[in-house]
Amino acid sequence: MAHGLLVKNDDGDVLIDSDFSHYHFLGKYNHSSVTQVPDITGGGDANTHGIGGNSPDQNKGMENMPSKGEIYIYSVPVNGANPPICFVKPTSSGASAPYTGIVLTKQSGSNWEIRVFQSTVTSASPVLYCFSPLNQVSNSTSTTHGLKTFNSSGVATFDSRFKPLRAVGGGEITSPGLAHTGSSGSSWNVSLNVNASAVSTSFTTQSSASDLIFYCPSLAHACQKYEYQQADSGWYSGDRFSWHRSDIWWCFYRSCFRIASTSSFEANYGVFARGHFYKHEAEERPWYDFSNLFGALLGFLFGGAIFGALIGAISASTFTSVNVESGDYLPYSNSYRNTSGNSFIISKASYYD
Amino acid sequence: MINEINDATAGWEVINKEVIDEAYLVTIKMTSCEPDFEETLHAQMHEDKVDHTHLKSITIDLFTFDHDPTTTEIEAALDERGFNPVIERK
Repeated sequence: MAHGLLVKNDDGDVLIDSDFSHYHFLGKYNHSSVTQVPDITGGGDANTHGIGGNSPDQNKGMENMPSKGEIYIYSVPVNGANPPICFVKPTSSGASAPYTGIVLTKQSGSNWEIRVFQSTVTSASPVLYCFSPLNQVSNSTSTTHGLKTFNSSGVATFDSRFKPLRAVGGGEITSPGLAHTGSSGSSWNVSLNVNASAVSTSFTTQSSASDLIFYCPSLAHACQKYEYQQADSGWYSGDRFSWHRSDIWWCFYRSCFRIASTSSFEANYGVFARGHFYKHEAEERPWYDFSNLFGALLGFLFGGAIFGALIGAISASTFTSVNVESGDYLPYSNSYRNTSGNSFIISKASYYD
Repeated sequence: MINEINDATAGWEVINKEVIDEAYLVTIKMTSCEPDFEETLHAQMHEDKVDHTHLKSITIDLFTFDHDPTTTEIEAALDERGFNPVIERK
């Protein structure tokens, strides 16, 4: 730096650097709407009523599936190419608090749209505390004194009249691998609830957990499924019968976070999207009818073509009428991605309230 | 072919294996079947229209290991999960 201003504290940490675009407080924002990813379901029954034998009819909806989290949508009025850094003031803190994480940040006209995913549905809502480079802060002030710095291009980079972003802690956190561990189900009963243990990391101890806000985008995700099918054929009360049923249940999980204590930050998963497809067919013929039964074709749903067609048709129609990003909701299965190296920053709401 | 159910062999099969950070994610297909009837008896049962079934089931589920599992270790995990390749006739 040939010229300019560089202010450091006793530890040598940079407090003000006129060459650096410091982030300043934009404001607090409540959500404008709340939504959930709609269930992706499909199924079909053919001649399954009154069939002999033990053709199963139970759990053809979303029975036993874990509840989904909510997605809060915010519109942050900051017009510029640099996305705002938005800290989440969660609805609560502590060991029973829901987990929260930013799942989308995108420019939308002269605003930036932020979507925050919360693992469970609550009556209260998270609040965003947002920050932006000074050249994107349109807030006005009547104060005529203070300190304002500019870079070599004459662009304002710091202004003491606006509250700066103050971090009190931070680090990196790793999300769990799988969201659900152990058996995923038994017979027609699925079990895909989040049962992973939260991963915890510490930050510099603060005085009040309920005052803390955090920045930590959701990067990790997991996708797990359970499949079950049965088929049978034979004779029942003098008639020939044949039936088959195949089911696929799945959940797509996103990582999310909570302030567990005055010095502890935790990561886990919430159910972001879920689905269930099935197909059930049966035939029964009297003994004197010698036409062929279809046979109980194990694997008739899992071959890929039917499932692919179903999910393609349903997702295309479903997402045209709801305010959720379209996309492939089953990009992989029984695995996880991006669990390590998730940076987080801790600050205090009371600095800006 | 007397038995109308397509061939499905009781047993298990690894259908996918993925390794992430030393975690082995193994998706296994488990097939269970009612035991076969003796062929002559089975033919007679169909001839006489005797009530009987040929029930089969397939479960596809995920198992995790901290190393590449051996066949013995997979079978132990299947036992622990309650997999039985034989469906007892009721």
